[in-house]
Amino acid sequence: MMESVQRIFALARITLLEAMRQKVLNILILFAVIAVGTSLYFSTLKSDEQIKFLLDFCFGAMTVFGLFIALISTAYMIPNELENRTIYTILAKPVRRSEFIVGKYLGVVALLGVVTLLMSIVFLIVLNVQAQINIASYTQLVEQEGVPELDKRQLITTNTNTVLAQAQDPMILQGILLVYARLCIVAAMAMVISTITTSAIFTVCTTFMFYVIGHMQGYARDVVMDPTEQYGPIQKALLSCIAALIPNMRSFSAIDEMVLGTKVTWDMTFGLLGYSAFYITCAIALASLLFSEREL
Amino acid sequence: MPPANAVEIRGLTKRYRLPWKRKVLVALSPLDLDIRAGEVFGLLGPNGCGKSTTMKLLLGLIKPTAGEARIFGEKVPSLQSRRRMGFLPENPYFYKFLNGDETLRFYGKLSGLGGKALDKRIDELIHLVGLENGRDRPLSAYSKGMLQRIGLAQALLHDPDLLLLDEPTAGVDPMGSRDIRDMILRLRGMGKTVIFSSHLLEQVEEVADRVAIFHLGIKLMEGTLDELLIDRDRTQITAAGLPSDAAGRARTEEALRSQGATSVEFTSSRRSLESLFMDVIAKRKAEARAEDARVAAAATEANSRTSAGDTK
Ligand SMILES: Nc1ncnc2c1ncn2[C@@H]1O[C@H](COP(=O)(O)OP(=O)(O)O)[C@@H](O)[C@H]1O
Ligand SMILES: [Mg+2]
Repeated sequence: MMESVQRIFALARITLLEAMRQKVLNILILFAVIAVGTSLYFSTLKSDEQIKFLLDFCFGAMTVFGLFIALISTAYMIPNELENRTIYTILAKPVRRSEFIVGKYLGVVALLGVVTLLMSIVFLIVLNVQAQINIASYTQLVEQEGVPELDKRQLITTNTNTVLAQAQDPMILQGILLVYARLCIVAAMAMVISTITTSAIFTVCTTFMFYVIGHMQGYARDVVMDPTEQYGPIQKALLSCIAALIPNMRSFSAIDEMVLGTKVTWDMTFGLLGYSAFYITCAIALASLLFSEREL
Repeated sequence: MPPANAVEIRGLTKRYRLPWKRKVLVALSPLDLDIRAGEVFGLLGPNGCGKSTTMKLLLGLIKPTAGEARIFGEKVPSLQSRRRMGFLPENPYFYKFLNGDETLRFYGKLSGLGGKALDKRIDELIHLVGLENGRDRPLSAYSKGMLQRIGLAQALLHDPDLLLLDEPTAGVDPMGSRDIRDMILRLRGMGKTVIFSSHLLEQVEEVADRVAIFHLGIKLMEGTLDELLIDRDRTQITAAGLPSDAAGRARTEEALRSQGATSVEFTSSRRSLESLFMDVIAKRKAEARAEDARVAAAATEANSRTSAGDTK
């Protein structure tokens, strides 16, 4: 048991180290950080919309770049191991195939963690810079208007509090956690597909397709559950498969709702994180099973 | 009682379906093979004859179409059997960004070693394979010979009883190849069983106790080198100082025929290119060492002379 953990940890560590050295990934990470950073220059909207815009833009950028990084790092992992022949020396050791898959996946999860953390730090800096700009410009405005001194103080304090409440809302942390969970789900899907194919491009495309289908997944489930729907048995079987195999990405729209100002509770966040953990566990178990049958 | 055989292979078969050609490729025809504990066994044959396939089947990297194999009585593939095997794949590559030490540490962790025991083992192996100069260098800067050495060290980490070396000398220069063969012999001295494959037949002769010759996935013959190579009808005599002119040769031939020889053939003894090469290099190295020693001696002498002059 301890040995098993040690092997998984060694594999995860080497996977993270290797990924951090890949040029493509480094460039993507750099772009991601720059994209989040430059969002500040795009925000020329009405003052109270600015923070909202930043939230929307940055969560979007984190998802898009994170998605690319999750897909590429996972899809090329097994093909690279095969091409470099490192997989032969690794699996010739007393290492289980499942340990290999779990270790590799945890390496990707760690990589995505680093990427999300980097983007989040820049994100939070951007938000707070924007908040300070907003406060400063409002203060200036109030000063020029010639409002009585007492009201002036009151107005400025109220404004500062609202802006800071928006920019330092703990819900942002929930949003970041959900973005991260979503990336981990995508990586788990890619892991399953990469165990049954030799082509990384195929893995990237298929996983992306599943990701998109995942957004319509709720619809598939409704059809399967609803007895009045006029679908043949084949369509129903297909839709059941989709409902069972593809995670429900739609539920992560909580992030978008949050940007629009809807309250997202911690209960809801933990619910989604739990769902993610459950899906990932199933996916990695499936990937291990498929990979143990694979010829190398 | 431990089983006398390190490896027992029964009817092991590997066929590949080639769907695009609608054909079946037999990579290994049903193979029966026993390899005794403590022997060095050579798998010989041209490229594509099934040598690597046999090793990969033993390790469980691929699944047999039929048949089974046991390692020290343990059925393969299994975690238990892999604890007792070390593998050096052909043309090994490792993570290029790790240095020699880190590479061995990684594989050590995979082999279930850790802490002080692992540190000690790494030191031993670096020394055993002669890679002191590669400890801190990234593997991207390694030569083919160095990669082969780190590969061998990696295979030996968990002190396995059986070593599978796939083409260990392929692509390595003669000196490196010599070292690897010496290492195989040293491993045998430590009581290890070694299975290695090669298509370079001359190199096999001096290290293998027994060999099997494969062709197109079929084992053609198997036996000790003596069984396979000694021609009991013919005797080779190597003699120095015999006359080399026609009359002298005639007298020698007559003497041999009087002993019952039916045919006599004269050739000047010819050494192998390898032995020449090793000699030339060894000689040059010895000269260089002598030269170094001479320079060093001269330098100390000069030094002592100047310091003696200083004191005057
Ligand atoms: N994955 C595979 N698919 C189809 N054929 C294969 C595969 N792996 C090996 N072969 C074939 O099996 C035969 C034996 O290969 P191998 O054992 O690697 O030969 P070698 O003796 O050179 O090591 C070769 O003809 C090779 O082309
Ligand atoms: Mg081969």
